Amino acid sequence: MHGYQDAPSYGWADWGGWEFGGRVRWPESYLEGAPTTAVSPVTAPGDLDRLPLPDPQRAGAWPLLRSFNRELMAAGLPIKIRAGSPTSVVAGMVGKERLLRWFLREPAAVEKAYALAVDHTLAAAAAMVLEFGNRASASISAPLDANTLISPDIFARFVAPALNRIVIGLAALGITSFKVHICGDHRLNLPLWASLPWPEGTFFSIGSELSLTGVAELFGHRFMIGGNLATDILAGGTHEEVHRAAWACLEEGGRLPGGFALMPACEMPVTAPPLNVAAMVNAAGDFNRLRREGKAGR
Amino acid sequence: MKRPPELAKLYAAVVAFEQEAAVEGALAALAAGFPAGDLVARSLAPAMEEVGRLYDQGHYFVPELLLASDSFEAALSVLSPHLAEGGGAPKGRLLLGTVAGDIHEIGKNLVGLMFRSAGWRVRDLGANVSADQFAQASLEFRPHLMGLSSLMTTSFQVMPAMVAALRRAAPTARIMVGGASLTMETARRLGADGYAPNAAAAVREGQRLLGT
Repeated sequence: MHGYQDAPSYGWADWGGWEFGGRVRWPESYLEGAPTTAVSPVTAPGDLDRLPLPDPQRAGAWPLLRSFNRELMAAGLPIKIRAGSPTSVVAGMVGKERLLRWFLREPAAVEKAYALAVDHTLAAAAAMVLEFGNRASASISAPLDANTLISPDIFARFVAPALNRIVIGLAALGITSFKVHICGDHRLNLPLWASLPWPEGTFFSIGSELSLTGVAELFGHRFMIGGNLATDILAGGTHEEVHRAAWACLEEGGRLPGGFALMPACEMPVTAPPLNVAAMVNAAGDFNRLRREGKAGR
Repeated sequence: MKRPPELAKLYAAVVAFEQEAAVEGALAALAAGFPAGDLVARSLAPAMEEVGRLYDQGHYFVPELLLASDSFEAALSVLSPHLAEGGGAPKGRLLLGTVAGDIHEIGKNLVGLMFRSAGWRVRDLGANVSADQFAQASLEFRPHLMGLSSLMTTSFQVMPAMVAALRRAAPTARIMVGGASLTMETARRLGADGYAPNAAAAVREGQRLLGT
């Protein structure tokens, strides 16, 4: 409709509980948007000792993703690998509120759960590479790791080491293309994100709670940054408001030496009016045209 | 505030989210002859205020908030049988729920806990609550305040109609919204009276709306 189409991808934020033996709840209306974990398989720390690693060929949504990747392969597009965040997988395994309590009450169990999540993520990636080769793009989205929920201390103790293992493990499989969505308010976690061994060319998209310039400076201008047009404006603002907000992103992002992609601060709201999406696309077109003419982005 | 040692111990147990110590503290204070109402007013409620302050200032995050609330609830369950009928008049009645199409509950649950600890009566309708369910409950519960929680931008599709339906069902109640998808500006656009970015702020906003 708007002349742009990213390579399709398949997945949802609450990915992990189903694969480990939980029950998934499929959306009952378009308002829900995506599946969620309805029942988590772990309710007591001891359950983790009996929890087998899922079969990456058959467990949960993996067969659906493999089938999707076959379509991508046939269309000559790079395949997609779900790489986390490990916190989403652990939250699916344990339950979100239980996990939040266990971070402080049952840290040894949480460490065990993260180890299982990483082992499984890497096993599933290895199975995908075996079938499709390593012309793949790994995607990580980290909504539950935001400081709206957890402290940077928790991020440092549990999340950062798990992400480190995932990045290194995927690199060992030959996967060096990463798309990372730092979802929500991660201001206190950002130094830890920046310290991980991301391959050159990793693409980071950020929420509207973060500053494009601040993130680019922290990451050392080595990476392309995407963002961070507020989704509430996209979903509920006027055409003019969206254009104005997009323009502000472009003015800031256009100065980033590592490159910039204008995009929503989180997933594109399914209810965003097409006119608002057009306003975002038009803002990028207008901005680039005026910049070429030396009238914008200086 | 200077508290007798029994009250100070109970206060400290909740702030430090030590559930067993909070229960023991409540039992010990009762055994020492302190009225249950005093313990709620002078230990438990101020402790949760302090927890909210620590959260606001970035010293506590949601795990600490949840565990402190657990400690508060555990101590309160010890004191409840000893409170006078109804435990005194509540500061207000809050009807709470996550809006239709959205099943996220953590933030909404925290809002309920913070209001309860501040002395409000709270009825939590759960998640994926329709305008009809809200309106029906409001007829029976007669809330002073209604809290609509939403994590997803898809809720913008239903919230204006929900707010309008709630105004018809409970014309005197004030309506507050909150959740990750919302801002002050979107709250205004949706027709709400108030907005809060988190659970601790929600209590202050609710009190502001009611002028208490």
